[in-house]
Amino acid sequence: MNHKQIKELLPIYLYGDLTADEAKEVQLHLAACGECRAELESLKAFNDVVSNQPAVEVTDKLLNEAREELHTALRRETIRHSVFEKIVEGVTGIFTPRYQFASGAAAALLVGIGIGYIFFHQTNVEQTKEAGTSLATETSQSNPQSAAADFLHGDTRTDNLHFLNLDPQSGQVEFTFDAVTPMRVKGNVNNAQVQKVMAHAIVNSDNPGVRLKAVNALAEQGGSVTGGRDADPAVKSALVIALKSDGNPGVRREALRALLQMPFDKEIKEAVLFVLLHDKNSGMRVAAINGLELTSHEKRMNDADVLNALKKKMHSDDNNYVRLQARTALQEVSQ
Amino acid sequence: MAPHEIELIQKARGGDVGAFEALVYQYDKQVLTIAARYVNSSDDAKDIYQEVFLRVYKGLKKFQLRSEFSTWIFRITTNVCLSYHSRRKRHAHVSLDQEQDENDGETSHRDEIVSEEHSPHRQTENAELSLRVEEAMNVLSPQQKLIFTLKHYQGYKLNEIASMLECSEGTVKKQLFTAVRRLRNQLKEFA
Repeated sequence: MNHKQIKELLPIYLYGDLTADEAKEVQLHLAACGECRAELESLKAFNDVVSNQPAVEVTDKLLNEAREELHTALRRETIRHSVFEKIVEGVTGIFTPRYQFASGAAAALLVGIGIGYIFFHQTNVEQTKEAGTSLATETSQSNPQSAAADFLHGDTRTDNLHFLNLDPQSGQVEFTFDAVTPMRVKGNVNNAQVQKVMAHAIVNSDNPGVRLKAVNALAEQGGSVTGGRDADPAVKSALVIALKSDGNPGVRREALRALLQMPFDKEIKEAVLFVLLHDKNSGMRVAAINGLELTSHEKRMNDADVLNALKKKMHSDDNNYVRLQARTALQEVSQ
Repeated sequence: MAPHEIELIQKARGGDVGAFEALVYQYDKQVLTIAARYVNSSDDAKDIYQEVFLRVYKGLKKFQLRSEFSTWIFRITTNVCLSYHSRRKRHAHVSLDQEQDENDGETSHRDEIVSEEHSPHRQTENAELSLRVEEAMNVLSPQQKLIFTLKHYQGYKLNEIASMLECSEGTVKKQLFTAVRRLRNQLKEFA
């Protein structure tokens, strides 16, 4: 190696990351070259300067925070995936005749859906049967044989086309693609499909106004959403996720309201306790206390987790009002 | 790859979040450390951490069991770090208030660190040096900054860095040399 090459290796030499042969060659050169020795000293001084740079320390606390946030994001991701699948399953179930594949046709079509938009040409779904009992599903004019052609006009957007088979001799092709068509739905919030679409919006919509309206619609219906039965798990999970992780406090507040009107189970209790212990918005913490107080009172419940959380807040919350509310609630619940 | 790791991967592929967490908790501190050193902010580091593991979770079905799981995670980590840098740049105009807050946060963090020093004069000197080093680091390209951080602050071997960045060792050496040269130019009054 020549002088220039050796000089370029000096930073790596200082890091001890040269091969034994390279290091030996550098040492031999250093013994004979004053300029490189000076360069090495200068590099050491530079290393000292940059090594003193303070850094964010990865403490157990920081790691745990990162893990908790990841856990919430993973739950959100899992629910998103599951809600998505359920919507596909449910909606395709309703509209199957509209999407039967043309068995004798040249193309085999697999249909995907896009967020917020589910299949079909708008004009096919604009009328309702009876409000409150079913979705708008007027599809009788559809002809399965023309299903393939229907995808190629109107408002349908196509994406992700993949060829499965292509036979130039016979002209037969087989492929899949995603067909995304705007859809208009009118139905009652008690309808399971409507609820699933709204759950999907709660978890996936980027627009806080849409999320708020969807949560609000579920909350407004109160107990009638479930009719005293257990809530749909996908809907409940979407509300829990919104309660625990939505960036908009208005959405979280409505999610809490909706959840408190459902049968109070372990999942809901944990979500409300999560808000009480972790939500940065003091109004949300107070709402959680009120919710726990009311539920505990109605159900004559004396739950140790609830009591402990209230005690903790009574002593350590940053906000005076939250501490006071926790104290009052604790007295009420303990009676 | 260890059999228990393969088992966890297979469970995680089936949507078992617990298995996924058990799998990645073996490496997540390293990921967070790389991110924290690279962005020098705990909030940004947590963002990177989350994005890395969401990408890992979503990409798990495509992961080939032939290669090392840890190598794959660290590749994703370096990719997210590099793209995070450009995203931050792109969104830098979004909120001046936020930027101000962040700067305030960083300043207070630095203050916290230098408060351990005894002399007020020394504190000022250290704070200024720290700021200058940070500015100098930001003159580097994202790749140079990442390579320098991985090598200088975290002591990864050149071949490990090359594997993370999917490039040759020669490229790493060259980028490291350039990074050192540029940093020295920026900080010549201190060293």
